Amino acid sequence: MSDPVVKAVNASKRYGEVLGLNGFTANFGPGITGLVGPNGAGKSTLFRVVTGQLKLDAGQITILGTDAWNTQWKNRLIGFCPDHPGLYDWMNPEEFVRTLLMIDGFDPDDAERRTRRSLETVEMWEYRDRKIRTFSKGMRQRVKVAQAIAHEPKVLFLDEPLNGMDPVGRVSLLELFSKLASEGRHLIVSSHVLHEVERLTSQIVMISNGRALAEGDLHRIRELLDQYPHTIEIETRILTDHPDVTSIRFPAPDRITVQTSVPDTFYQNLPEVALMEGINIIGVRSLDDSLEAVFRFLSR
Amino acid sequence: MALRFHPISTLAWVTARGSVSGAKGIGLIIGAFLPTFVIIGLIAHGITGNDLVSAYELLVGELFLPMVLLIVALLLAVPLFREEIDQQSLSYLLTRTLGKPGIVLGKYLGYVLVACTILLPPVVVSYGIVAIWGSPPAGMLDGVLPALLVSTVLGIIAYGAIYLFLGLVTRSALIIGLIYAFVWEYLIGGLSGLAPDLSVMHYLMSLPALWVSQGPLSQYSTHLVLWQVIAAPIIFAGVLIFLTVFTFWDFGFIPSPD
Amino acid sequence: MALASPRYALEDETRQGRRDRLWAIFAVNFRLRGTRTLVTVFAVIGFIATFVPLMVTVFTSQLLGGSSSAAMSVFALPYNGFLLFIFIMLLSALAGGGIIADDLGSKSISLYLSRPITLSDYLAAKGAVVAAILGLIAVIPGVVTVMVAFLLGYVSATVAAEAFAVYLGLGILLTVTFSSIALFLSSLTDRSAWAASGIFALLLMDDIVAGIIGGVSNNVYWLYISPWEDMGSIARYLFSVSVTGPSLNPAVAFAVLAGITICLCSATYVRLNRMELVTE
Repeated sequence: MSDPVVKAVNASKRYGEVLGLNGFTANFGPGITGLVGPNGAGKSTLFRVVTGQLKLDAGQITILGTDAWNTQWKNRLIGFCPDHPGLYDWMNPEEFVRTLLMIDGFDPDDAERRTRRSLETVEMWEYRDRKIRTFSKGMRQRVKVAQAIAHEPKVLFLDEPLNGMDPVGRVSLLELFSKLASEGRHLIVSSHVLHEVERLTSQIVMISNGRALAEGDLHRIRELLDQYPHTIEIETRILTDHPDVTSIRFPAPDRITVQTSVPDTFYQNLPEVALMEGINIIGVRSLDDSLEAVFRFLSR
Repeated sequence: MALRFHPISTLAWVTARGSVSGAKGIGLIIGAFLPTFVIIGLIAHGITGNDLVSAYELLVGELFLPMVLLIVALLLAVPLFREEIDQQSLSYLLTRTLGKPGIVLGKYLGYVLVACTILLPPVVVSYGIVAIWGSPPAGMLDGVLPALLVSTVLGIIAYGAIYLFLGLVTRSALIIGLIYAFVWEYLIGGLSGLAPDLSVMHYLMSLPALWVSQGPLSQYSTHLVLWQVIAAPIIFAGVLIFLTVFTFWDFGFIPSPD
Repeated sequence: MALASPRYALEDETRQGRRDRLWAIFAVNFRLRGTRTLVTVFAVIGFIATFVPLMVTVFTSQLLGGSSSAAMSVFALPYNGFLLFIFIMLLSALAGGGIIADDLGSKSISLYLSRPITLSDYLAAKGAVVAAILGLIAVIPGVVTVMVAFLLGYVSATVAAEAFAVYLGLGILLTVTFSSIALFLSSLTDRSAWAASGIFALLLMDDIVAGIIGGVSNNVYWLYISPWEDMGSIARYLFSVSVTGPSLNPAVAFAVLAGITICLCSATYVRLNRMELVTE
């Protein structure tokens, strides 16, 4: 198993009354890792710590084997797309990205070339002469992504990168992230939009109240929750007793919600049962087999 | 960790440009030229000679140095960090390889560059107008221009360092800077004995007093000698820059709530 | 499946009148601005710095038995020096800098103006906040001193009433003028700190420039451009302070202050009326 890109051991960070991280321990492996959690979970705090903007009060976080705090050389290897909308509004995106590259030490010609490439990648090259203050949320988001990828970092930290993006923009950014990962880069992406994180990766770290709830493959996490019954809603007029069913609810006259501890067996038997019983099934929905459901259960 | 020139100079240039973008830059330039406009008005009203030179030196000594310089330095230096912290755009610099000392230096140098660009031309232009059209008595303006230029630069350096530090450590930096400028500097500067030595403005006013032989500027009371007057603001600025770097080193920038 | 349209019923409601709405804006903004640490500190210091010298002067001047004009001229003390002026400037900047700028910066002005209030009501309420804060040092120290002097028997009822009325009138003029300056400058920017710096710088530079030009040109009329000099001339007239040498005409000074107030209030109104708040 390869070394984690980011390793957090008992990381804690408090500011005033707020506990941003509370003994957070997790590994972020190679490839794309999704960081999911509710508002105020500590996602942004974690990103700030990992990118060296906040100092931990306790514990340790390393990135590529180096301590995250005040290690300037590692900044060449990381790219950060923050969640906040603040940018240098008086600049245009070309100036903005090019300036940051030159502050990073790239010579002007190299900076120009990289600027063009990154803005073309996020489809902002045609707006390169417009001031950032005239941009919509989605355009600002693209500019933020552009500055994060312009210096071709090894590790990308993307804090809510899809905020403010329209559906088409979201898809194109998700495709970009997949492409970057396929080039060998490591991405850590936080998002509230859980189904999009699921689309991007099955490797997730769940955070809530500054603590890690779970990490690893989403489906494996789901399988480990064997005490948690799946909830399945069957739209049918006829109720049937079945040994696989542990409980039944009737949320509506034409609807049954069934709980079962053996969902795979239940699914296998359901067609036969429906046929034998003459049950007219209009639809079947699993309410639990999603990232959101797993998260809700874990954060209860 | 070495401080690299190219990234620092890039940051300085960007800082300078950003400081004067839009209406703010125009307002600062107009404000800096206010004494010049007053001088032009006085000449237009037929005031020349001794009276004009006195008015010019009074404008410099009571308006330009203790007010215009302070306000321009305040409005340029405080936002260097304060605006970036409030807008949360500092993360873009912090995730570069420049390093925190480099960020402080780059911003400070950018401020010095733009402050000199705004404040030195009015000094030269005002002097030129008085010298050419003001019919000054012979010898009355001797030493005034170099003295004022050096005082202005020293003021830019010293006040910029104070406000840079204030902008980093407090959200009310502009207000506290105003209070410092117009309460501390006036109160302490107005006391007798050694108390004025605690005021930066005392050094800025002492320099023309030591350099110029005639007129209101020469009448400022000081016990300091020339090297003290020049060294003190520079050392003061150096100490504050170091303090800023030291404070910034361990600073954490709290993210806004999700 | 049948669809039924929802039924809504409007509850009976009573809306508050215009005066209550204005009071609501005033109260919340006064609480917001008046309780800020720096404003409180400088209001307290300003009050003490105005009240104490005035009381000391009243006690030591042995007003009892003196002429009423002598008594009145003692009460002119705050307007003869610069201490009150410095605190008025500071409070105008601290309390007035963000009075409109903060609303512009946070775009909350659109929340105000989407309510059933007019722009002039909004401006009046906001201006009243600054005026009330300035009044803490422009009006209260004086009227309290007069009341104490009267209660101690240092002045007659007539003199006390006259001084009380003059302090009140001067205080209203001072607060209204300086509030209009603060309101205008605050409306020019969405950054309260810049507005505060501008208010302070403008008021102080005005006074300095007026003094320098007036002195050099030997023409006292240059002092009209300084609101504080205008206030001083009106105060000296109303408090029967005798002046030697050229001085400003108090009627002209009053007209200048009134003109400044009306022009700046109008400019603020026109500017905000024409402004469009653009958001993403």
